[in-house]
Amino acid sequence: MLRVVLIGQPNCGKSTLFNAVAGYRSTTGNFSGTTVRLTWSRVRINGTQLELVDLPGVYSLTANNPTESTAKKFLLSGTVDVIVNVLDTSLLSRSLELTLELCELGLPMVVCLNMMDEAQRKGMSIAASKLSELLALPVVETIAYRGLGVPELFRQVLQAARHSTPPAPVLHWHRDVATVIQQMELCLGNGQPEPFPPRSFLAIKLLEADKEISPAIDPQIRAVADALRKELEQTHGRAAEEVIMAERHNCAMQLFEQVATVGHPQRDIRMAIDRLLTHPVWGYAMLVLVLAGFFWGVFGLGATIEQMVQNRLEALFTQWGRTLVPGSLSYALARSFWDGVAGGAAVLLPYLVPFLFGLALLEDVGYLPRVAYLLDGLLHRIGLHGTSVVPIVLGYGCSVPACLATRVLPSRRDRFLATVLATLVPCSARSTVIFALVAFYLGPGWALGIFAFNGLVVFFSGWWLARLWPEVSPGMLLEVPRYQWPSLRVMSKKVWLRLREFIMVSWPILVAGSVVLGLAEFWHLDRGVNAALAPLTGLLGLPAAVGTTLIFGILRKELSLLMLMQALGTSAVNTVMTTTQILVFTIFVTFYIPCLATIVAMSRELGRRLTAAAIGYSFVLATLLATAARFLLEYLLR
Amino acid sequence: MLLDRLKGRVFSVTSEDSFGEDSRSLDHAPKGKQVEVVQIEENRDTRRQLAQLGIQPGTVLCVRQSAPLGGPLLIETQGAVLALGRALSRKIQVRLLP
Repeated sequence: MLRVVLIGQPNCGKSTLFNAVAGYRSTTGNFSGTTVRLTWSRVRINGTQLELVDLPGVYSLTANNPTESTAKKFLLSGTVDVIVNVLDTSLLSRSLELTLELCELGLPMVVCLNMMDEAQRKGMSIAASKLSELLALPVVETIAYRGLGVPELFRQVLQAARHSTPPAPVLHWHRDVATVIQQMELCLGNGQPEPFPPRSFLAIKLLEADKEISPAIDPQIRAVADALRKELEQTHGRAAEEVIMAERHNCAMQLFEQVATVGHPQRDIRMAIDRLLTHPVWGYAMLVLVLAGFFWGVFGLGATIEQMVQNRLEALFTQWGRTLVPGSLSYALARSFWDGVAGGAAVLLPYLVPFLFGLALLEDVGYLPRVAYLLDGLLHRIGLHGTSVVPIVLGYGCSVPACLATRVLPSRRDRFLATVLATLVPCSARSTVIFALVAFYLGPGWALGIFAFNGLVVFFSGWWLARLWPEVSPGMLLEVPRYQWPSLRVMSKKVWLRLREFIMVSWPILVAGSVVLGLAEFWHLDRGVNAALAPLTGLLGLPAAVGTTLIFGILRKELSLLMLMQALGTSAVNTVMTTTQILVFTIFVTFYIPCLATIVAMSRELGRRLTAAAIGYSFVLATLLATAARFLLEYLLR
Repeated sequence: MLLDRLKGRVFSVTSEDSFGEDSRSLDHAPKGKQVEVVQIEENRDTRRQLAQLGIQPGTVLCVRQSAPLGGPLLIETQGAVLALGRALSRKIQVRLLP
């Protein structure tokens, strides 16, 4: 089957284009590094089946982090039939540098000038036909989020696949650079059939001393490359890699000047908004406002719906369960089953939906990189990489994608720190527990306190861990995208993608867990677990029945709340637990051991040892904080 | 101590006013003015990453905003906006364009 890959610089709309033909499968967002792994889909275009692959964004074919490495390896695997090079037209000159590099691969290629509307707003007009002529490649203009130009793009893709005329390298190197590259090519065995990747590409990569390609090459050839590289460096007075990049840069600039005319940009209100949101004083005030708005929005909506739905469902059970005898096995079964179902519908969903919508909004508008910009000074001071903010904020949604998002960080140490902190942040499931338990029973002020307390703990954990593993973190280097008007349609699809995971995976587990606990209680099996955990619950001053809950919480974080209600035998938690106990329980649940899915993702990203360290850290931290909170609150709330 | 600081400030203002061909680090570049990158004193990996984002000797850029507490700068170049850590910006020598 024809395999087509989408490749381009970060945030140029590859995933949006992918979703335009494959349905919403690849998560989109307005920040660099939204896609960190390959996304596949089979699509049928004009009766031809093809396999479309959405690659993570790369600035060039020299990888700086694991994400870029993934994309590069796939591209060079020799299994790609057609390349679709997606460009953010409003950043045409820079984007063309990657195009020039891709031409070296000699694969059939189509250039997709995406975000044409943005370029127009900037006052740019592009002669696409001229560009097509200069590159000797088909060039198609698109506006992917509106689907404009997409059919034409894929028509060109099919045509390129049929008449597979590989592009000729466009770049004309300076004579001395060209000579060196030629010499290198000769050394790679000229005359023999052309390998993939082609010799010219390998020659350039060897001269650049590419860390991924060089080690696979014969040491003798590598020695020649070293000599040639030295020669180049001596004549130019700077690193060979930089000589080559500068050549590409100049060529891209020339191409840009030939095809683009830049007029006056349209007046753009986004500039004024951005000045406010990145202002040294107002920027922070707005950040606090945005977060507060988010909090009150989620709580206001969630609490209203929770009350409404819970009353209805309780009434429904009373009516439906009338025939059952309390204390019988069938009653225990029905009750626990219903608790699982109702808990998902009445307690979790009301908070989860607005929460996911809020997060999707922040992601799509493009606010996350601004948050990273505003907080970098603070984070750098404690020894963290400013870009870590993105995974940490994503951690509020779900810890699993947050772990994956750390792949955009360059060093292993920064990835470890960001992962630990991202998992300490309450994910949507734990936030739901905070909203439904603390905000609902004790008042929103307490919940806000828990979130603020969590923020402080995350901050100081970062500070402490950074000192434990000292390493100079390279400075922040992050692209800040333009704001985008969020599309309700795209946001709903994104929320649905995440919600589906809750409905298909978490909810059934909730119901099953609820039934298991119900039966365990019926046969008094929970006593053993509770007795084993008695030292912990005793230390925290919690009812012994809470023990089993904590075990279930490791499975799915939402379970800890529903199991709590079930273990206590009531959904009116405040009648059986004191304020202190509710708070201590929530603090413990917020910090202790990440859920199973997160542990799996973490060990894949960090390896077993670091994962074990992270789990140990979170457990010790949770126990210490919850114990301290217990004694402090008992003293204060006496 | 304070006097030294004040002197330093006065000095830097005058040097800015009489700006000719002298270069300075990017974190001292005036906001909203176009500057040209002269030299980048960084390791190979960082220089590459900067070049990939469009910052290399010869590039024209403009500082839009700087975050307080030693936070990053917002830089505009070739139509893109980048957040650049303060420490990194100290390693980039620039020249003010007339």
